[in-house]
Amino acid sequence: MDNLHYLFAAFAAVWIVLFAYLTHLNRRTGELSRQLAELELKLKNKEGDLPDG
Amino acid sequence: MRSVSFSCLIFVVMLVALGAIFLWVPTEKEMGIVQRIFYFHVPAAFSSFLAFFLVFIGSIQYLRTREDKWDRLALCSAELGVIFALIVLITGPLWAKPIWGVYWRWEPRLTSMLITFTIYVAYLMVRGYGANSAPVQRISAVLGILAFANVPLVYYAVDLWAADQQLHPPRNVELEPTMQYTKWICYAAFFLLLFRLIAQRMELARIEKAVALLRQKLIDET
Repeated sequence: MDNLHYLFAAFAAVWIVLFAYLTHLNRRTGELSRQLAELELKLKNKEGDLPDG
Repeated sequence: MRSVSFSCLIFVVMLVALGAIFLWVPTEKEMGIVQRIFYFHVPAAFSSFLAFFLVFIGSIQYLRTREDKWDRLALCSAELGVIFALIVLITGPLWAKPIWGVYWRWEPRLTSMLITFTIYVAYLMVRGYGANSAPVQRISAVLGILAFANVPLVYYAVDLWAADQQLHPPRNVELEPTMQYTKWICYAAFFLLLFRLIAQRMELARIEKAVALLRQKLIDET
């Protein structure tokens, strides 16, 4: 049981790396979805402003 | 719905893997409890190799067809390959210290793995600088093909260099059945996780592309 702290550190490292990556992915997905919605709204408004024909 | 079921499957397989690592598999006699690092160090290494293989396939297919989906597969797999290689490079030294007495030694497999990791980080940096322009996609595809030459080098490093320079054990070490089953369960957990993360990263890349196209459309109409 002497080396338990190495096992703990390695196990924790796996979860920390994966958790950090997933958090980054979720944050970026949320940010981009918001930007996408904003851009779609802008485009819709712009198309509404254009004169017919 | 399919992605939720897939995530549930990963969760169950990971729970089984954790149970096998910490409750079921016997402690190895020579190395003791620290040998359990093997069950996430080695599957993480093979997951990174699999991801780099997908970069290789995606790059070849992109150069052949010039379809964005292949470029996206290469980019997303490279990112995940780097994440899993990072896990290997962190857990490896933590296993090495109590067994070899040092965290790091410039021996063939460690060095070749670090070089591979660095090359794929460089690949991601090239992608980061050039966004999704066609020349950068082409250069990255060539880099993605050439970089894969390193992967067999890492795998066969224990055979290619003299035995007195090696710290890693030879390939195909005999494991007792319980350890063998645990290893396969951990492989399954890591591979499933890799595929799920690649799928999620590709969805993000698709949204990135949609945002870039809409932005361009707005600029063109202004």
